[in-house]
Amino acid sequence: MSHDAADRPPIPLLPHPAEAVVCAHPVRTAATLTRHVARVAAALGPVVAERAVLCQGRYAFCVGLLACWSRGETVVLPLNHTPAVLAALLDRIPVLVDGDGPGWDVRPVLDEDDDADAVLTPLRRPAPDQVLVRLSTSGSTGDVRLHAKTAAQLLGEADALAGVFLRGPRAPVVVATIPPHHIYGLLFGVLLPLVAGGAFHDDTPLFPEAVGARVRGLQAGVLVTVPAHLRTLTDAQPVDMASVRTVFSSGAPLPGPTADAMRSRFGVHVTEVFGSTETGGIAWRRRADGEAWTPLPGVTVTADADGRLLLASPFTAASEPRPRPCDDRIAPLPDGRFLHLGRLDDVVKVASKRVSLGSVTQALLSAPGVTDAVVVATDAPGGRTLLHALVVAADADVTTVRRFLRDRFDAVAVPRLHLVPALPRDAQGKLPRARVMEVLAARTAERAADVAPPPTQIRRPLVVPPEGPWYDGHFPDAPVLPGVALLAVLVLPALAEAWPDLGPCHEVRRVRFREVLAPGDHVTLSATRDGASVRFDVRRDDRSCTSGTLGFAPPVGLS
Amino acid sequence: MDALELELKKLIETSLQLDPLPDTFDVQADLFETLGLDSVDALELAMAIRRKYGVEFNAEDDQNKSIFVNLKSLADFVRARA
Repeated sequence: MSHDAADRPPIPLLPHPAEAVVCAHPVRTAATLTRHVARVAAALGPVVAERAVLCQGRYAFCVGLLACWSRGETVVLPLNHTPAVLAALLDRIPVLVDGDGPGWDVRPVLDEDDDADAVLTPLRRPAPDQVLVRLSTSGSTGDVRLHAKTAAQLLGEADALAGVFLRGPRAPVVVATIPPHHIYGLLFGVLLPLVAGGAFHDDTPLFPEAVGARVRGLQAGVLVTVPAHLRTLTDAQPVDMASVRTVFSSGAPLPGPTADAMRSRFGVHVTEVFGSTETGGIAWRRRADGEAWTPLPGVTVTADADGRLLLASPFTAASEPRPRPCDDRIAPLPDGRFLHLGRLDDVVKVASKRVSLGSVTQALLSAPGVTDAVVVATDAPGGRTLLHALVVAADADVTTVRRFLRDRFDAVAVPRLHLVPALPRDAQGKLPRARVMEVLAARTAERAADVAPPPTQIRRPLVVPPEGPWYDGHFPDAPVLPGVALLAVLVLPALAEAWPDLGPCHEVRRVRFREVLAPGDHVTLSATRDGASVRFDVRRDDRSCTSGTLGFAPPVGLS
Repeated sequence: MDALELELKKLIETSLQLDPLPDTFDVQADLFETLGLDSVDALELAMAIRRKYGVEFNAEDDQNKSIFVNLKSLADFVRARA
């Protein structure tokens, strides 16, 4: 290149016009954000190398982030916000917050009257090699590891994601159910809408009713979430997600039934993203296309002789080996895609966060009164992972031990604690997993049988899939959903989701197809179950389109 | 502990895979602190309550959080909505 870097016009960080909305709730424009960033940057005093940004609100967080970057400072994002971590952080570096307590509160600056006459200096992109953030992960022995991300890595990945997933003409509003303090929430909930010219929102709704209200209120086009949140979203009745075109899920594999329910209820194929704090994004998939993962643009995935994932990616640090060995076991496919087979270490994903079983066990053993302990991960309904600990502690109570852990770990990493007189160690002092599971099963067996019975009636809003092979060959100019396809893609998956114990459908009785359905139609399915038969009615605008009775596999013993 | 509070206590134990809580469990005790629950536990519990009692939660999470403070507030909510 013959041009000097200084000759090139600076690249703006925000592609938005000044009056375009950057934060959809409460509404903040690109101009307001730019002014707030400038004011915070000017008020912070001497430049430091590192500053922690702990703001809970996504807007305040974004202001803090961009203010630090404009000063050439690196933003530190700690592993969690537990008392022990915060105390250590406050000792070391200045901290930005948007609440009461220690730290520099950004709220007074954000509350100031907006000075619309102030001259705007557009926010520039930081230089590619500027270290923007330092993220933390916990190693297998409980040590904290830091991961620096340059602008080339972090903004480069946001650009790549926008190029793959947000290519539509209109930049969307992104609703996120996860906070912005970790790599996934930072990239997808803040940086992706920013570089794509879209908008985020301030709070982080959790309950399905709250998520639905935000999505509807903001007409959000993108939902950024995790499998555990998606599962409850598909279980709740009143959620309106008609505006959503793209749903991202990361942190753990999405269970098949949740993927199916998202498709049948909302007409959305969930996009799963695979990656880690160290590596950034690696690959993505949509369950309907199969199990294989497709690497992100520029990313190449291979495996060594043991099946260990070898990663060559523009989103990893320049100092890292290329390819970089990861702790995942994969099976590469000839077309560059790959199957993920599991982890190679003792790390499990709980509520989308990585937890090292070894580090929790070590912490337990250092808790006052604890003489022996073991931590195991078990599968709970809905694809959820739960941690259980068998704890020997003659002189301590569960509450004290639990508080000890809660001061040191994220809530999700704190296991269910079961006090036992002794651990089932074998003659060599080892703890066979099978024997640990036996003890655990005995503790929980009496409660397993006592689960709430499923309802006999359901009501579900559904969307007729916008595309699919079933439209081919009928009426090319006016696609309609054939009756059999309606049962197969809309009705049966919803019934199987509501009543997982229903067998395959054996019999179709008195089914009437009164009105045709078109792609994208919003309908409501009502169904009443009586043993092995289900009466159903599909309505659009209160007119019955299809109704009838379906017979399912007879209960065992009658066949 | 009244009948509904007992029923909810049982629901908490089963839906969250907890060891049985004593019948003398304090209905005013902070559920998240005492039981070490996280936000996904709250979602799971809400799902179990929704299925059992057919209630809907609020569109604002701040209000939802106050429902899950303790067993008593949870029972009051179910009584008012169910």
